[in-house]
Amino acid sequence: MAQPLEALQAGRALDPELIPLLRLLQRAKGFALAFLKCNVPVERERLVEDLIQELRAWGRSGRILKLREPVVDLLQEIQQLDPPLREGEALFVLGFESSIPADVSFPPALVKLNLARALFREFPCPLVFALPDYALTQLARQAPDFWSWRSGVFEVEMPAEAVATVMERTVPLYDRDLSGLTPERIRSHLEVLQELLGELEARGGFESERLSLSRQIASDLVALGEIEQARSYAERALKISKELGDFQAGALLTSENLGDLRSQAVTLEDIAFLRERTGDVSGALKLYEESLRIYEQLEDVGARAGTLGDIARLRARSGDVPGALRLYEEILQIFEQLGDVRSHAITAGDIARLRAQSGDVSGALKLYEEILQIFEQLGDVRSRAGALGDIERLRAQSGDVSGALKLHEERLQIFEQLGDVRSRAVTLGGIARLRAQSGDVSGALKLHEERLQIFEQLGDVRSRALTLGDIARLRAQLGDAAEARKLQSERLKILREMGDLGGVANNLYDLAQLDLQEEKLEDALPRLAESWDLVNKIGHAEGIAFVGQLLGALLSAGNRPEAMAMLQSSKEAYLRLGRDQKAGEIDRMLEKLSEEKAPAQPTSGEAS
Amino acid sequence: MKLPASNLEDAFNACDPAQPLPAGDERYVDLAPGRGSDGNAAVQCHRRIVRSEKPLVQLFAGHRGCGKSTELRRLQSDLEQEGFFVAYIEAHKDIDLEDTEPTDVLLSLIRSLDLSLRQAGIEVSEKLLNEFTDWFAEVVLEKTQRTEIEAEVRSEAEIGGRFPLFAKLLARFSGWIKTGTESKKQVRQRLDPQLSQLLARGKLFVTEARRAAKEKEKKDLVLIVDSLDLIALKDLGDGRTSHEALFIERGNLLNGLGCHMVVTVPISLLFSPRASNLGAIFPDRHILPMVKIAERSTRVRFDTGRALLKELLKHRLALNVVFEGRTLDKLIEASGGHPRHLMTLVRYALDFVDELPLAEEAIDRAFKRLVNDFDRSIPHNHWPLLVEVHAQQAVKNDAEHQLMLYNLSVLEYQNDERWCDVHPAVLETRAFQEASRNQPQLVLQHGSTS
Repeated sequence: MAQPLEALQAGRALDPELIPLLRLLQRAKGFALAFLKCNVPVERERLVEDLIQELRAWGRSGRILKLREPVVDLLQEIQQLDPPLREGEALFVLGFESSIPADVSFPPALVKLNLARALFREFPCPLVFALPDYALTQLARQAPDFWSWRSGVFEVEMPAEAVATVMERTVPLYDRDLSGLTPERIRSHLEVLQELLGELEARGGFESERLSLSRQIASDLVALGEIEQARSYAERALKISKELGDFQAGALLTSENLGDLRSQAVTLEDIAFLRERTGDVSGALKLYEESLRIYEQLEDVGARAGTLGDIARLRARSGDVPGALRLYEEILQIFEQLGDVRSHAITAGDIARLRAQSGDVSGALKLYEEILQIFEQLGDVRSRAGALGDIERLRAQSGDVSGALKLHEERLQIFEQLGDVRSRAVTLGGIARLRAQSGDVSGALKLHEERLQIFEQLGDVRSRALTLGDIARLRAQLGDAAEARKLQSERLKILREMGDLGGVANNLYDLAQLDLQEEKLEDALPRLAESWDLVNKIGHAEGIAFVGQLLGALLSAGNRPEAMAMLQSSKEAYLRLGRDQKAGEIDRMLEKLSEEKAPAQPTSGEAS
Repeated sequence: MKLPASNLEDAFNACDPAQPLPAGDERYVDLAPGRGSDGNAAVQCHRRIVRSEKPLVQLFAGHRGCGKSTELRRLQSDLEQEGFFVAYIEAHKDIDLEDTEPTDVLLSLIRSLDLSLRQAGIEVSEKLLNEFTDWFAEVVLEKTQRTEIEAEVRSEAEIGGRFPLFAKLLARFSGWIKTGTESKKQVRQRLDPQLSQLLARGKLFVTEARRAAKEKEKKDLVLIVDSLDLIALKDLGDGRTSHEALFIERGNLLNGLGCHMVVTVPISLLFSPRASNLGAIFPDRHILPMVKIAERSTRVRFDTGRALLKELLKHRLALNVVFEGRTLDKLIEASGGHPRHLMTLVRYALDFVDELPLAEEAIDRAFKRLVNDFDRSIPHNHWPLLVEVHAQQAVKNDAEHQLMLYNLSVLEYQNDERWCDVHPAVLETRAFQEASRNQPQLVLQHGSTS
């Protein structure tokens, strides 16, 4: 008779729910079917590893089939295992939930599973499916014949004390720049977080963990370009943060509920940022103002100043430069009072940029010199390099290419000293553009090629794609349209794989430009049409403006109503971006088209 | 494994919910007396096949896990003993059930029959086969494809292979249908307009097969098509389900081959709103009910059924070693008379112990687990409907009630008439109890069978 399981356990205590499963695995001769429910992916893996370790004590081995992508035919996946399954083993299937989307009825994987169930009986050992709750339910309902063969269903809940550990391990990508990560990496992170959130929601409580998760999920979704979904998670986060606040309603402001109010403010800013991304500047402003009121309630002067900065930026974007400058001046005073020299300098940089945009280049340059000195005193080399970049742009715009180049060289040295290979590569791009501007296209190309290699080594797929675009434009300039097109097409492939909808739209626009240069209107139009769909889908204001202008102009001859609608959208986008001059250009195009619509009125000298 | 099992490991392996019994297995118990007057559905099938002068297509329905496959295997064995040639077709192996186009189903049936005949050494007229082959090839294949397949047949013949061109063609078609996309489209596009021709030729083939079987001193040919009920019950919209699409809208295919057929169908289909249409196509229908463990209305224990289920377990387990006190009785009650659930509950209970006999606590935990399983698989909107079913012991002919039979939350029983009741495990779910409290106007009859 088998020894009691407890007697055989060594080391770490096993989750009690696993002991019956171990009994099943120990006793089964041949095929048996078991399900292990756990909502947290890392926990599922850990549980399976624990089980395999325990199985060794009885001379049984465990194998894992980890499905990294959705499959249609699980039977085939198992049949193709090498070596094949044998008696005395147990197979643990992980990752099958990716083949069971929550919002799809009768996904092919479950249909096939049910239909082919008899063939599973031919396997010589037990199979254990480790799944989250929703996937197990789907399987039970949509592969009922397969489900009916179960010998056990084991449900493991993550212990409360493990929640913090799991959160620490799985959540933080939050403040990282996600743009360099592949969509697959971000999506798999996203799925982990969503499952974890589901687990915590099912258990109830864990408000601050749920808040943190919702915000991180929103951040991941933004990186994937899924703005609407991101917004919904950000709204959820706001709701939770308000609930946390409401929970304390009526109480004195204590340090605990101060934290809840603060997280409300932060979440409002998250949503504001998303609204800004979709071009809803007025919506974003409203939320920033709400966040501002909270910081005032909290008497957090520094955070208030930060939010004022966001509002100032948006005012500037909407064209209210004087209003923005007034706010920046207020912010400068706050940082002076706080003695926060660094933030003072950064705000001064925002003012300088605005002044330059308004045409006061000398005023801007003067401010930048002050800022440079501050960063030198602070020893903040990196911020100094940033300011040098702003000055460089002004110099380049005013035609002082050699002055701009000198600044770039200085920045390059700073980044080399810091060992910041990426920033160095970005700076090389700035130098390359200046060289191209001065006519040294081949010099510029060399630098871009160097950048390309750096980004390839860093695995920065997105930056590599952008650099391909730079090289393609230069090749086009040199008359090598074929090479330009080849590079743009390679770039397009990368951007599509990345799911970078904005990048794809931009690239299609570039390719269409190439088509138009070669008078291939029939190729350009579908590219522009796709680009137009994308920029509208993601609400990319700049894209709507540029693509709408070009496509509207091209269509105006053959499809006036559609062309006018597009041009109207383009004009509105330019206005939102504060590009009044461009908006005026579109207005003139629209007027012309409207005049052409109206039939000519007969004059007195003409026959009626 | 020594039966009846008297240790934990053997007890576990003796109660496998995934294994139908082959004919003649020592564990078999005839549950017919416990199932009610229609309990001998397989025997009724048998009688009709033997007595009928013309070929019959009979539907064989029953709940998942009620013992359909076990009974059909016995039917096959009984018919073979009586001199019939029986081709047992496991639909999931031979038919692409994901995509049940008429052409696929017909081709697969013909192919399976051809394979069974050749394996039994029953040869169909070569002339007919060649005509069928030529027709197939002409309709479906490109010239190059036919040449390629012919070449394969020739080279296989050289190394001792015995697959004639007809079989090869059918195998190729089946392969395309199961796996191909373009090829599958090609077959469909070319065969679909010729469906009636295909059916006619299929019928000719079957007629010839019957003749050949009789020449080999077989009484006749019988096709048993198992597992067609594995097709997922999907709502196709407009009040149609996937089951109705195959068995009602395309029922004439199954009816048109001209030989005895026994075809498994899901029990829910017989409660479809279009059940009368089904009856018009298939007048010969049998349902294998659940084993009754309580009487209708009074819900008093039905000892015959309970004794049979006890017997079922006795053939597998040493009852006095594995059970103590009331535990066996509790287990039978918890199963609702469902044979597979009985096996599942035994396994569930064994997971909780390291020694025998099974204590009451193990049975309770096993039952609780089954309760949880139902909690998971029942859609939210069913709970108030289940309360009604439990009160009235009847189901309506609509999609929701079909699903209840399909997912086993409602079991079908029989006295002289058919009746239904909610599975005992469903009664214990929190959701059902809450729904009951919300519907006090439904007077529940005498409590559950526990």
